[in-house]
Amino acid sequence: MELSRSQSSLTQRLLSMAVLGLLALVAAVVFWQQGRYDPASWGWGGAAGGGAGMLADLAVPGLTPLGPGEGFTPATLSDKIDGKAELYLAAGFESMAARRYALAGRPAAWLELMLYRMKDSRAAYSVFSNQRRTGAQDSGLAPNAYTTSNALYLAQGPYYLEAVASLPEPALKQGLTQAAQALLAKLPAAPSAAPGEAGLFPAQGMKAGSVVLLAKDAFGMAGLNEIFIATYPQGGGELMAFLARRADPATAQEQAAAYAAFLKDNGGAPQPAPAGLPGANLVEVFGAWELFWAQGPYLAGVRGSEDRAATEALAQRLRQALEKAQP
Amino acid sequence: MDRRRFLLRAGKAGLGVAAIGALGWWAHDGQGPSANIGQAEGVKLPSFAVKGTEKRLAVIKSSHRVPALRAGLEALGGIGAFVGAGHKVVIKVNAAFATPPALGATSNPELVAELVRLCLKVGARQVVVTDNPINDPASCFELSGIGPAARAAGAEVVLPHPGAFRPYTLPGGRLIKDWPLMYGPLAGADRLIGLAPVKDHHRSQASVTMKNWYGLLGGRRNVFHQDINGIISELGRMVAPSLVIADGVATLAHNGPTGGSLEDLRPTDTLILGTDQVAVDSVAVGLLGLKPAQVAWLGLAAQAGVGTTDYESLNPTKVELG
Repeated sequence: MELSRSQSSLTQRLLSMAVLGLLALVAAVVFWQQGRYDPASWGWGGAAGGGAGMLADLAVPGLTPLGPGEGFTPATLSDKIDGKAELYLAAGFESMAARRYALAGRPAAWLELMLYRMKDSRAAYSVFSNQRRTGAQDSGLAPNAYTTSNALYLAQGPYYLEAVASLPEPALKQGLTQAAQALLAKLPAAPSAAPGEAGLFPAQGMKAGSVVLLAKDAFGMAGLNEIFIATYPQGGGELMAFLARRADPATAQEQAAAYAAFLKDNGGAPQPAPAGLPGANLVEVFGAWELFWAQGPYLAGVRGSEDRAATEALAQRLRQALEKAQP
Repeated sequence: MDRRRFLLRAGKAGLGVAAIGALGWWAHDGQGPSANIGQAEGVKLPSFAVKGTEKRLAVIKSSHRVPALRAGLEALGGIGAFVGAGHKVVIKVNAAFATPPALGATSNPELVAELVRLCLKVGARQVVVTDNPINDPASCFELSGIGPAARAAGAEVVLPHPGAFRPYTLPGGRLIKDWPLMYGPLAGADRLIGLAPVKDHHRSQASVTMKNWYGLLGGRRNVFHQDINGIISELGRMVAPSLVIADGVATLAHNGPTGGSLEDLRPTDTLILGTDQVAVDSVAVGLLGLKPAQVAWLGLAAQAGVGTTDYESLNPTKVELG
């Protein structure tokens, strides 16, 4: 059935005009906003998270806050840390709060707290482990916390703290510890030193504190994400073991095949699998060995050493560790 | 519905769709957004290179910056070869972060002060020390120690302000188009000297003198991090400096460009000075354990004719001060 213009009711016509008016309004707003385009804000989300509140309330004995502090979002993080922002953004950054405190009467003696809120504890562990300083001392404050001569770093739950002093002075180091303790009291408890599959690496011979979570594009391969690595000193060099739990065995198999193809595309020469590791991929890359495989839902391997025998021996141990984990 | 009415309505609907499409086409901005800084007139950046000083390079081994600077300038022909009486000299430092000088994330204040003094000593009428830092400018210049040191040595410290920026387009550039350039401190300058620390950089592997020109850009320049190698090579094309100095006396070897821990630094006892910024940076990346061929932006800059990565071809003067 159809209605001619004369048959349309007044209500229908008013309703039609209202809909058309609304569409015209939407078009006008879009046009107006386009003229005021701000590349700084377009397409970026995020707002200051809970971290800002934690630092806003934080008092450190013997130290005076220098101002109210600052907050940073994914859109503005690079305003604070420039190119290093990419490390955090790739891992799952949500917000960061920063605040400085100075020793009373000594403006040159100050410390800065930078509290990063990441998407989860794995993301926090990733940025913590990627930046672990050599020669760091265990702080004893938390499973993932260490000090250097002028700084303190820790990861707990979805938070990562960088506390940096302007000078390597005892009074400031004490301030770093006190600030960290005050913050830890507010942060969620952390049950273990490293999340998830990191605990599956063979403990014997592993370099202390060497477990790192690579959040994105590990070993230069796009899409090879969420990979744990651990270092094993071997003779004068080092072996690197790697491990990742995938959603299911098929995904682990696919990634092993993709990594083999990636290595081949980059000059790698595939070799027959070692007798003790059937089904594994062995690839020689410019004199160094890459040995990796899928085992249940795990993608695992050993890489980067010119010592083939040592590579195979560590691979055997890693395979056995995974068998124990998922009999 | 009869055929005539159907065709009439279909025609109207088609016209409506066409009108909306035409409106969208008309409103579409094919060029995309620029870093709009109002109606300011665009500028051209002159060359600050000094004729007759091309391809000079000096590598000074020393753990002390001030004597290394003096020896390096001497090796290049003396500060007088670059700065003369009545000159306005701009020193572009790296004051990117509000961090103490000991962390090595910013230009060393002692080095800045000595360079200012040397310029004034040979008759410069004005020495300007400037940067557009990543963090709050006033805090950066004060906490890095650069501001107080430069002022004490007789320089004018110029912080960024809205009036200092003018639109700039790099001729033939792909990234730097109609972008705000901190031109204010450069206006009327006779000489431009870049002074940067040697640093590890999470995105670009290394940050030295060419990356230091990033601090002349304004706007939301972090968008350039998505093409970090491209932007550094364009920065090298953008600026033809009188002289660049890379401070590798202590190199920020880890967790750059911010660092944070003193353990991120490594003593490398090297100051590099030259008029070829690609050559200077090529020497500098060696302090980070890199070869020039491993650093993409060096290759791009060399391809663009900014300078050479084969720094030995310049017969650098090498001095060991002990």
